Amino acid sequence: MKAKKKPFDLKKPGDIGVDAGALKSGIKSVITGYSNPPEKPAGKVFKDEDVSVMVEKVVKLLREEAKII
Amino acid sequence: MKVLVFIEQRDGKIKSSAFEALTIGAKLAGSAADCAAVIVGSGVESLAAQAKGFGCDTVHVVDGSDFKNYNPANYCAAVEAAIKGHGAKVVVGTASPMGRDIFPRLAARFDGAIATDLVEISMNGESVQGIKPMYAGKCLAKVSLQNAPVQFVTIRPNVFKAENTGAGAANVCKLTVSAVSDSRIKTIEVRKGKSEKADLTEAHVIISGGRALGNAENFKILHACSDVIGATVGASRAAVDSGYASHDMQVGQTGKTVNPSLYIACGISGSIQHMAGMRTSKVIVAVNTDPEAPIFKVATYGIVGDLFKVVPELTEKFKKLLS
Repeated sequence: MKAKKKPFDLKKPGDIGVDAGALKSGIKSVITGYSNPPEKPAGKVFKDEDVSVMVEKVVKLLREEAKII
Repeated sequence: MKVLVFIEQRDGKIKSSAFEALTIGAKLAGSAADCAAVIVGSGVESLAAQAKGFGCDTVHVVDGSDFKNYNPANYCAAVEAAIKGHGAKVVVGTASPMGRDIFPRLAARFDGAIATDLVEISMNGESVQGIKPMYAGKCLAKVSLQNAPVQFVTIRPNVFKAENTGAGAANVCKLTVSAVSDSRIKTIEVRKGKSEKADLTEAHVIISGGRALGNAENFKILHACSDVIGATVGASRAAVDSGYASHDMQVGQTGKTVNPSLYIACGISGSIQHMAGMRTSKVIVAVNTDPEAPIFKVATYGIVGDLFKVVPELTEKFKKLLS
């Protein structure tokens, strides 16, 4: 808790000899925005069935829906 | 726009992601005349012909015994010569371990700008802009480069499609570059991984195992399945830390970032660190006994079950299907 009460010694760039304006003008890489990754539809999860039945279903989906295998 | 593409090769074989970089480089350049490539190694001159049709008219070749094994100082000197020779304003490579090492060094040499691991890329006038995943893939950042004499970009492997459009003669232009005599880094030996299969970062199908495998011996069930579907075997950090798999198989934040068409996670709960390395896989299949495991949240298909029963069954079904 003591650490939480310790005062911060806030300094501006100029206080430590940094020219903020010059720093900004030299920036070569700028992040212009953020976005969320495209949402994936909820997956199909199989449970409480015989293993061979669940595997059969997944393999079928991989072949016919995802067209991977 | 003059663009140079760094073609990465290992042991005389061009990495498949290099063709993706070539495709992007050609698009950014706008014409085959403005797009060039550079290939560095020993006995690599003949590889240049493989770039034909991928949109570059010139392939700078730095060939010599000093470049047989990757050494950042020597490779930087070689690519630097090609950048100057071509007058490149944009340099494209892949976000592979080699690309991650060499591109920041080059950017520093040229006082350039750099954007890494891009999953989208375009030109905005003279500036490169693109999109890169951040915070373990939880958000996408739009990055724009500016105020730089040379712009360096790396693209994430397996995201962009390599296209042989037929354009680009890929004429060889030999460059004579001396090895850096006062280099602080010396490559003494290169130890190859045991696997002969595709590198995890380039694999189209990956089957990974977690701590639930129980021991190294049990990874054989994953290898058996991988043989049938042509997959590369990976592992979670938990499995690697437990000594079940080697570190070069590790997928995740402290391992490799992968982007295959199919990722099969077996006995992997799906820690945020693991998912940081595989969540952008196109199709994810999860196998886990715990229906609440986080991996099911990102899975395209999931099976709640014992991997020791599910994986052999999968192997048999795949075998039947592909025979």
